[in-house]
Amino acid sequence: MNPKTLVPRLVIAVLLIAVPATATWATTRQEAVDAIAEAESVHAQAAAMDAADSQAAEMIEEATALLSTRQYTKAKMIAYWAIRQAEYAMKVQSGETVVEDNKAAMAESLIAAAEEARKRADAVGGEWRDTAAMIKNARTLVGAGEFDQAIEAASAAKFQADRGYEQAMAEQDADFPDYVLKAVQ
Amino acid sequence: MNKALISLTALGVGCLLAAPLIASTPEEDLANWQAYFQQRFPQVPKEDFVNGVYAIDPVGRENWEAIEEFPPYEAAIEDGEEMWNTPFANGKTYADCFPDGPGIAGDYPHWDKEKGMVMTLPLALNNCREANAEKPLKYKKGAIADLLAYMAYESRGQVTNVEIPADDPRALEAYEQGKHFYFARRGQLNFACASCHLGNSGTTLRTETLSPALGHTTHFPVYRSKWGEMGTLHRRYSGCNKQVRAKPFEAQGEEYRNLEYFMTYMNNGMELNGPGARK
Repeated sequence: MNPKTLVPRLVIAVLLIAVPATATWATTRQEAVDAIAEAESVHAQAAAMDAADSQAAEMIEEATALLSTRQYTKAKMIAYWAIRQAEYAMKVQSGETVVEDNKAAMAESLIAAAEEARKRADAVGGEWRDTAAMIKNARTLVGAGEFDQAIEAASAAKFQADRGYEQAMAEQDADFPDYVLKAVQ
Repeated sequence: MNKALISLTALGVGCLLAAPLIASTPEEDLANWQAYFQQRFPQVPKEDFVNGVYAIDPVGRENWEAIEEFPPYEAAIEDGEEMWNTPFANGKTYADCFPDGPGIAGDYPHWDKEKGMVMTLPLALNNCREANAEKPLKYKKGAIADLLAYMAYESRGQVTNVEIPADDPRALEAYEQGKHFYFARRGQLNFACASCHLGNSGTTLRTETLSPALGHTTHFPVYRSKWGEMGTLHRRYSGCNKQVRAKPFEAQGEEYRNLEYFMTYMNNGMELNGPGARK
């Protein structure tokens, strides 16, 4: 075979396999529905054990609501975290996992600090877009027993909230830029 | 001690007296604003700024003019007209609230002295609905954008003429707040509205040419190809704020209404040409 034609043919062959395979990356509705069903089942088991997975029910509701807007990947991800919440609650209830009190308390404390900082930034119109979502994410991680990640997320949220407040304070006297006035004079 | 106190008081009084001399008036702002854009884009006739980015992007303009042959906002105008003519449950119509007819976009936004706030057309429409026991419409898209499209169409050719009444200092305060909003950097990306649409207008952000701010308010509501539907001015504000990773404000809340007041005042003298079609 001519080497000049071999390379393009190989590229085409790889693309013919790889491009259809990319479709498998997307989440189908059925996958999202299955994930939600699994979350409901695990949540029911947790409820039967009287294990407190307070966020799971809310997350299942949120995931279900996303089906109508065809956000299947997001719905599946939220259902996954609901499962994690319920499973962790059951492990704590059964004594299989011991809550790391220090880390849990630190995460809760950082989340509270981040929320307070977010409100302070919001009060001066300086809240950033993702801060509230980051705090919500930290709460989800705490519920799943992922305290290290929760601490990281809450710290990042607090950092954002503080910078947003500082930015709003620094911009209090914002006005026509000098270059406009110089240009027209 | 007394001397120091007297000196401080004198300084304070001096600053208070000098403040109005230092701060620019809305008239000066308007003159500087429009002169800046005319100087930045000398090839663009002033009246053409109402066409947004298509005033400065010849290739984009060709595409846009082709789109305008079958305007994507046409269905919205028809739906809006039907809304205007359809009586509320109590038998009254929008015309009972707005006796001058649908072509009144040029009267908005204006300072409502009685309410002590900037009154925008969408807010006035919802006030009308509520006064007639109808549910208010959502402010960003959907039915209100259709109704606004019809009213904008009926208002084409009117000239922007926002007034800041001298007999109510709260109006000037609202204007100043809107101006501050426009120039204040916000969000994780630390951008002000002016960062894109003033000093960088005409440059590109990725593949998009940044439109000049002059004329921004004349053509709303718009059909944006990105949205695939109609949207209001405050929907666009919200989107811009999100793009710079700032938390958006409530549509028709005080912040955006004051911003609209400032921006529309800056377009005084420009012709209304809504609804529009944009990328």
